[in-house]
Amino acid sequence: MILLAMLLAGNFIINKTYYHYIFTKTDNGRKEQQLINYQGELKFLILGDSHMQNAIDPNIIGNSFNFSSALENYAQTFFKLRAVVEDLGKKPEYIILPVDVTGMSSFRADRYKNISSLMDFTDYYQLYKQTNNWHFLTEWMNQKFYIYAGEYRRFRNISSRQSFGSLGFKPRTGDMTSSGNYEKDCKVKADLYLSNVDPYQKDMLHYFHQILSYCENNNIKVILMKMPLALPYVEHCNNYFSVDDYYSRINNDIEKYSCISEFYDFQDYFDHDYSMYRNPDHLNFKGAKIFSEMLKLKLDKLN
Amino acid sequence: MLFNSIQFLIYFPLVVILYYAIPHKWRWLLLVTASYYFYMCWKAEYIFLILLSTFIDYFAAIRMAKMPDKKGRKKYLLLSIFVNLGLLFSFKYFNFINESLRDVFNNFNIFYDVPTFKVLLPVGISFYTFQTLSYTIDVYRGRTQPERHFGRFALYVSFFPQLVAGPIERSIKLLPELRKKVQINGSQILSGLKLMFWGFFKKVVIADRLAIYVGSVFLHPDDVYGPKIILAAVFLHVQVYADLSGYTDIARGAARVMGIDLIKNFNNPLWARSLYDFWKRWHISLTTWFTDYLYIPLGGNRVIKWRWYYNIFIVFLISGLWHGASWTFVIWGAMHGLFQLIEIWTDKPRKAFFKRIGISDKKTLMNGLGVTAQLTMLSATALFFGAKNMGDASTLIRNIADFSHVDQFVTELYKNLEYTLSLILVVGLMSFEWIHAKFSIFKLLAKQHMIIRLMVYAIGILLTITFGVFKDQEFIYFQF
Repeated sequence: MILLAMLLAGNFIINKTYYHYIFTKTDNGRKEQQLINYQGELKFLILGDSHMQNAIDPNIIGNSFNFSSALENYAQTFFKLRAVVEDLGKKPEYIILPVDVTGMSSFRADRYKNISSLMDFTDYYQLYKQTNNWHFLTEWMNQKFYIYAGEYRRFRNISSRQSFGSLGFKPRTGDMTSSGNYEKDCKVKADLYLSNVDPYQKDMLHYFHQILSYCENNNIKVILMKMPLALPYVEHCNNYFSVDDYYSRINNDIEKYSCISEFYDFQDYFDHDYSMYRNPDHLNFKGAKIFSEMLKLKLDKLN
Repeated sequence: MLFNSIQFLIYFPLVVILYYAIPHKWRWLLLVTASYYFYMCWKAEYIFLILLSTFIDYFAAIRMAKMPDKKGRKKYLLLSIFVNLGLLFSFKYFNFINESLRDVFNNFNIFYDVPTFKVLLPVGISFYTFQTLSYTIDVYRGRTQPERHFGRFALYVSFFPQLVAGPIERSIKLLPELRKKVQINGSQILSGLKLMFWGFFKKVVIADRLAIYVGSVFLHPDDVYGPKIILAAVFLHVQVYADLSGYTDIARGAARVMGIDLIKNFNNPLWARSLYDFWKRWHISLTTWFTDYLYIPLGGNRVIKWRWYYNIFIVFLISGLWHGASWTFVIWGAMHGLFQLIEIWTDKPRKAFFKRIGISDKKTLMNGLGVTAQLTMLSATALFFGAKNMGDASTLIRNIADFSHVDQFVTELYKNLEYTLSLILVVGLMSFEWIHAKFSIFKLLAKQHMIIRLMVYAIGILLTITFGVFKDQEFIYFQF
């Protein structure tokens, strides 16, 4: 009994310390605080993964917030959207969602394990019921009782004064062409994402549809977007499966949703100008600025 | 089902509660059911392989006991060997041999079209086949009587704490343990739980943390250089020790909670003073298996010298192959065999040399030299143990001489918290093992005031949660 009392007390103290002084200082923690403090009209809520996080500047778009995060998959995006609307009471007019060639893959379905700081939103119990994967029960327990599990590195943040950026946007430096062999980089990336994966993983498809259904039921319009990708990268992806067929299938799947306002195809937007990219599938700050300005013109024409 | 998983956290207490709740005469049935369920959580259909091995060996041993002479018993022993090694060959070695033959024939432009056997390696097959073989061989030799209770024998084959990664138990030891009537004993249960926790700590805090650095090197052999590779080889050696000894401690602890004693599989091997000493302390159940059932039947050291050297080399070669169906493991085994022989051949000259330079009676220095030499040799073999294939192994060996980025390496080591922690964990584990061997830390702790003990346990658990890696990481020896 004494041991149990010591454990509970110690756990409580570490857990609270971690949550209040460390978790809120992670990139995602700070971004969540920014959204909580966001005042004004939320016309566009940008969701998804690092493709969106690095590429769309809400300061340029206006009336928007970039709430995407690196490595985020559709399951996490669904829970995040639901939490923003129901827990934070911030219902956007539009969400902007990426549809990437890797977005539905089993590579993405394995990515929960890497994102502990999104635990606040993710309903791990529902994930366990959906996937029958016991790992999510462990994550549920982590979320409820010991959010600091395995997170020793983040205790450095306790004294961090670093700011994040504005409205959730995280521009990145770097130029894909500086490596001298971007063709090889494109192949390495495609191999990393797509070798031995199922491109239509059932749980990713399920949650993609959950996002659309949720928007349909809550009068939120959806703007889908194929983000800019370096052409050699797309060619290497085609070695694994037909990218055109992949998008045709998605187009067929989403026909039933009336909430989809637009489906923009910006995949070839930068053509062969690889100086706009940080790496084969992410824009750098230069590319993000040009892309955001172009996107703003399109979004302003929406009613 | 992994030991470090939430399923086991639910499964194990349930099994223990039922174990103590039901009468002794039915406990074998509970444990067999629990063990089969444990195994089937991984891949249900592979339980038939364990059942096949169980039926054949039970039958073979009973029949052997009825034969008065070895000649009569031999055919049943051969049946047991054929079935168990047949299973091992089919699931583990067929594809390796097939692909190797394909490479040879293709090199000579000879047509070779034997298809690959698309099958998943059954977890634990190398362990339970060896365990049952030891039983039938011991019955054949007359060292033990066959177990007539089929259920208890089935439990001997499948006992869940040690089913998938050992220790490889001899029937002479384990069957009596399974037969004995166990009363609930609080201090025994506590002792078992403490051992499980220590194993769990070694696995999730040490082994899985080291795996991050080791993986970054062995998965990207083209991008790494000298000091990085050397450190990864040392880390891999410690990682494998923490992983396997961690598993063994959890297995022994779980068995101890149920009043069953399993063999101690490790005896402070990191501080072994020679390779010979190392193999007396490392994976003891496997080493003694190879000694009793391969080395001694080959003649051991009771043969002429060249035959003795051959016996040593062959045993290690086969031990390498046991660890994995890959040329890297064959080379790993061969290196161990060769290093053992070099140790034997240089024993007298080394002793003479140390005596001449006046350090042969300086015990601490000699021990230090021995430990350093042992760690160096083992780290060298780790390059093959950790490499995915021979191509990667050659790349690592080629790059190991590249010391052009030493300053970058040193900076990375202290700036990357993960790498710094890995270094601390290695030094910490080795220090702990050395101190524990001298002063028995657990016994010292047991003598302290209850509050101090409880504080140590509480801090240990909280540190495990903070520093542990909680992805579903399999134990390394599951792949063997």
